[in-house]
Amino acid sequence: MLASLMQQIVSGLAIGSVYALVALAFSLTVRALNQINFATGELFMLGAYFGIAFTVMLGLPFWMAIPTTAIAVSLVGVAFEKLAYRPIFKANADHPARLHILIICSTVGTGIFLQNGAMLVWGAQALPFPKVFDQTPLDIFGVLIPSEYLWITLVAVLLMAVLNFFLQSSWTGKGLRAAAQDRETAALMGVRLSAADSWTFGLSAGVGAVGGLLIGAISFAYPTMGAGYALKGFTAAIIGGLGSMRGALVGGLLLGLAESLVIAFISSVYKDVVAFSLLLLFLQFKPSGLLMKPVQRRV
Amino acid sequence: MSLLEIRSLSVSYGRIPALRDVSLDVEEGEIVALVGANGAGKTTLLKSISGLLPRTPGSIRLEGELIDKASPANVVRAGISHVPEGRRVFPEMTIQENLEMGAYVRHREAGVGQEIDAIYERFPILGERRKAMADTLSGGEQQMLVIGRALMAKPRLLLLDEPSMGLAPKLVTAIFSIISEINGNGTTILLVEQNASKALGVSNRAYVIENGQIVMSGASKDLVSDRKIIDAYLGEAID
Ligand SMILES: Nc1ncnc2c1ncn2[C@@H]1O[C@H](COP(=O)(O)OP(=O)(O)OP(=O)(O)O)[C@@H](O)[C@H]1O
Ligand SMILES: [Mg+2]
Repeated sequence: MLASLMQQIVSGLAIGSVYALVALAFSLTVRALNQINFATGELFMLGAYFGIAFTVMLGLPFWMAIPTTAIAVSLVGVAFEKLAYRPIFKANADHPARLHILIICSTVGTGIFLQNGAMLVWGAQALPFPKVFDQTPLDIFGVLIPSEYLWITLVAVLLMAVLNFFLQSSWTGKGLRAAAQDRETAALMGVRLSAADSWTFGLSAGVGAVGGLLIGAISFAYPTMGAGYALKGFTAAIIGGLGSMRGALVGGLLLGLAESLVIAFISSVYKDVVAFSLLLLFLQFKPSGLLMKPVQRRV
Repeated sequence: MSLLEIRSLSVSYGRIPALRDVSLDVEEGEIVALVGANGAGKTTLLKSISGLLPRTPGSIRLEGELIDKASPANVVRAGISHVPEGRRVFPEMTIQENLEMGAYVRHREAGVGQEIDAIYERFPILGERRKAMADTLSGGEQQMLVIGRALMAKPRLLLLDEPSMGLAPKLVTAIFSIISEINGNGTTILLVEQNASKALGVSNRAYVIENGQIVMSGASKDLVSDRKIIDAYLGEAID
C-alpha cells in the first residue's frame, strides 16, 4: 500500500510538472498580452511529434531532442505570432473587446490547423515514441520508482528554472517583463514591442512543446493529445494564478498530486473529475488563484 | 539649428483633432515649458514626439534629422527620453531594475552600474530602497524614480509630462530644483506643466497651448507678467 502510494505520488509530481509547463505556456501570453492562446494544446502536441522526428528520423539522443524540439516549436510560435496574432492586433489595438474575440477565433483556428496538419503529416493513429528512459525502476528505500517519472520532473523543473533565469537576468527578459507590466512605458525605454510579442509566443510555444515531448516519451504522439493536457494545464494555471510563473509550478504540482491521490485512494475513474471540480471551484471562489494578488493592472 | 524642431504638426484621435498646426522649437541647453489647461493637447504633443502616436501631417526633427516616422524604441535611441504623465514605474520591478530599464538602449555599453550609483547619489532615498518593488514607493519617490530612469538613457532631450502633478508643495519645490539641476548638467528639457507659475519660473522660454493650438510663446520672464497669462493660468498664484 505504502509502496503504491509512493509510486502514485512520484508519478503525480511528474505529470503535475508537465501540467506546470502547460500552465506556464498559458500564463506567458496572458501576462504579456492579456490573451489566452487556445492553440497551446496543439503546440504541446507538436512537441511530441517533433521529439519523435528528432530522435527517430534524425537519430539525435534524447537529451539533444529536448532543446532542438523547444527551439523548433518556438519558431512555430514566432510564426504564429506574426501570421495569426500581429495582423489582428494591429488592426484592432484600439478595440480591446473586439480584439479579444478575434484573438480567440484566431488561436482556436490555428489550433485546428495544427491538429489537422499533424494528421496529414503523421497520420491519425498514435505514433509510438522510442523508449528513451531507462526502464529499470529505481529502488528508493525498497520502493520501486519508475525512473522516467523522475526524469520528467527534473527536466520540467530545470526548464522552468532556466526560463525564470532568462526573464530575471537577461536584458531581453527584462524587456519582456517591462512590456508585460506597461507596454507603452516599455516602448519608451526602447523595447521593441513587436519583437517582444514574438518572444512571448515563442517562449510559450517552446515551454508547452517540452511538456508534450515529455509526455510523448512515456506514451504516444497523436494529433488530439493536446486537448486534455491543455485543459489540465489551464486548470493548473487558474489554481496557481493565471499569469504567475510560480503559480504555474504550484498549480501544476498540486493538480498532479491531487489526481494521483484520487487514483490511489478512490479510483482512476475519477481522476479527471478532480481537475474539473478544482477548475470550477477556483473560478467561482478564487479566480485570481493561490499566488496572484487580485491587482488592477495598467493596460 | 534647433535641437528639436516641430513644424505644422497635426495629430488626431480617430476623427477628433487633438493638435492643429503646432510649431515649436527647443534649442540646445534650454528648458522650454509647455503650459495649458486640461485637455489642451500637451500630452498628445509629447507622445507624438516620442512616437507613441502616429503623426501626420507635419514634421519633427531632432538636430535636423526627421524622426516623425520613428518608433518609440528608435526615438529613445536617437536621444529623446520621455517621462510620461502619471509616474509610470514598472510596479513589479525593483527600483534597481527600473533604473536598469532606463539603460535598456545602452546595455551593451560599460558603466551602467556606475551610473545607477550616480542616480542613487542624487536621490539617496532610492539608493536606500533599491531592492524594494517600485509600487511600494510614495508618489514623490516614484517621480524621482521615473526621472532617474529616463536619465539612465543619457538623453539629449528630456520630455517631462507634469512631473509635479499630485505632489505635496514641498515635493513640488524639490522636483523643480531637480529639473534645473538636470538642465545645469547639460540636458535640454521640454517641460509640460499645469503648474504654470513654477514652470515659467524654471524655464527659459514657454509655449501656451489651447485646444490643440499654440496661442502664445516667448521668453518665460515676459510671459509671467503678461496680463492674459496671469488671468488664464496664474491667477492667485501670483497675487
Ligand atoms: N486616447 C485618446 N482617444 C481619444 N481622445 C483623446 C485620447 N487621449 C486624449 N484625447 C483627447 O485629446 C485632447 C488632448 O488631450 P491631452 O491628453 O493631450 O491633453 P493634456 O493637455 O495633456 O491634458 P491634461 O492636462 O489633463 O493632462 C483632449 O480633448 C482629450 O480628450
Ligand atoms: Mg496630459
